[in-house]
Amino acid sequence: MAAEATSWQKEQVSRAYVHALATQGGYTLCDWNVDKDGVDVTLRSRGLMVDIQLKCTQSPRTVRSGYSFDLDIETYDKLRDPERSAPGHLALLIVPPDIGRWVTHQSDSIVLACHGYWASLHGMGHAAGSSTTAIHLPEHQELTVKAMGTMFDAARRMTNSAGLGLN
Amino acid sequence: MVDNGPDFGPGEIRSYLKVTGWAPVSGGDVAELWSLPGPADEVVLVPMKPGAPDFAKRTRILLQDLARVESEEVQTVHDAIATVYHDVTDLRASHPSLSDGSIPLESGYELFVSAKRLRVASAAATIRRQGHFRNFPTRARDQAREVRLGQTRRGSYIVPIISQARSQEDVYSPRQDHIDVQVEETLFDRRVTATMSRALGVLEDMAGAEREPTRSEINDSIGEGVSYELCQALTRVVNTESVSAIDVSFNWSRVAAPPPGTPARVEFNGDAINIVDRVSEQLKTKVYTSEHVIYGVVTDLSRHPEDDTGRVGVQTLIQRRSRTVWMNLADGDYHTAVRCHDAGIPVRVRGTLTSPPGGQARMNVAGFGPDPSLGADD
Repeated sequence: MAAEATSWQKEQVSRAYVHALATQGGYTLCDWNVDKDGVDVTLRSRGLMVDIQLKCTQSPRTVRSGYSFDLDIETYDKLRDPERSAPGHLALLIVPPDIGRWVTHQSDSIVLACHGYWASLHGMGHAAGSSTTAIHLPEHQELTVKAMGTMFDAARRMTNSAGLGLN
Repeated sequence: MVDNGPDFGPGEIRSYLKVTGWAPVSGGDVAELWSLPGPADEVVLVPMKPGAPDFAKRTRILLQDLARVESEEVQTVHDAIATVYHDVTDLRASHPSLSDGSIPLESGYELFVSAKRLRVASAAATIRRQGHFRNFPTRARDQAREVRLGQTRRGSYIVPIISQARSQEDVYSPRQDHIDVQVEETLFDRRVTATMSRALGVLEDMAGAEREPTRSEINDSIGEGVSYELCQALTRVVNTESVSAIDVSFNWSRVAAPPPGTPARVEFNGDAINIVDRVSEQLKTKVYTSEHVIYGVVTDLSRHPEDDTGRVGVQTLIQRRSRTVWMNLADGDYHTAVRCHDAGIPVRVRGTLTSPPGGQARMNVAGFGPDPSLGADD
């Protein structure tokens, strides 16, 4: 049976995955080494921002039509807060159980055997549990460059309320 | 500061962006986007909810963006935003021996005490113009309790005094029919700083002149806010062994125009202090004179076509309570009163005030015009 990767290794491969997608999408990125407010990476595009908490697993829990992840309530509450100035998301990255298969070298490329799913937590309700809450990550919400565009659409809506008295 | 959350909120950020050329492009309840016109096409996000869990981080990102755009240190931008509503008066003691950033205890003590003395003397002169106060008005002593002391800075020894300022556009509207006590309290802070700046400027001019100031020049300086106590606040510092000069610089809030005619910086070395000492002696011993100063808005105007003077009511704060002071103004001053009323410009009036309890407050006017501490025209 393959050895469990360290949490550091899982965190770094998640960041690498998000970095690659953000680069392709033309988004800049702030990396937060110390996660004090429930956010690991912030994507940026012309003033707009999108916050993501990254989780990585070698053994995802599958549920009907997707995955489920138990997120601690403290992080959940920070990411769902309706007063945030940028939307908060959870991204679940899935890597093979065998760390030797995470990266494959080919003649003209390297292949990262990592794929992810995302869920928007912004504005969600109070959690029922006291320590963790199960977040559903639907299988159609794959973490892709296009998905990042959708996240920015939500961020744009937050800065576009009607009837503002800007002066 | 920034790591523990910023020392300011969205109001300060928006005001700072406005005065540095940024303009809002879109906004909601939780965030706004501001852009800076120009080839770089910069856009920044302003978080609007200080209680949100991401407010500190969002502000940190904003500070980094602004520091990059302005080619400044993050701390410099932070300080500029944190003090955007404040006038900061830097009191600096200098001497070759202070270059290591430390100061002898005695000199440091005098510098701190002088900061308060300068403030109280200036506040007293903002209420009454008098050569020697003996007893300060209560409002003047109270005011010194409201101003703040900033972090001292290394190098020479600098004590920053932080006081409130208010944007001209946030003051009064045209044809204002009453004063706002809260606005007046903030304006008083700015008026005190303006009085201090003007008084120290006049004192520096007298100290730097080639001849000794005349009795009449000293008398006139009282009208600009110079007093025995103000002079003493300066001489006490410079007369300590390890201070060779004191300079005072005024960093006016970026949202409120600097008061016209006030110096940005004044300096008093040992030679100048000798003259300040002599001015101070004359102020202490000269004939006791007193002139009240009131600030407020013109709320009542009445004049018959055939009259030489017009009757004007100025609503003001007397002992922190709103009162209307009545006065008769000659043609020129009356027209100024009409103009100030129509434009919503606060006025400053000097003269002899009688305000019997329960009776009508009246002033025999010696000087009437737009309040010069707010950047108003003269």
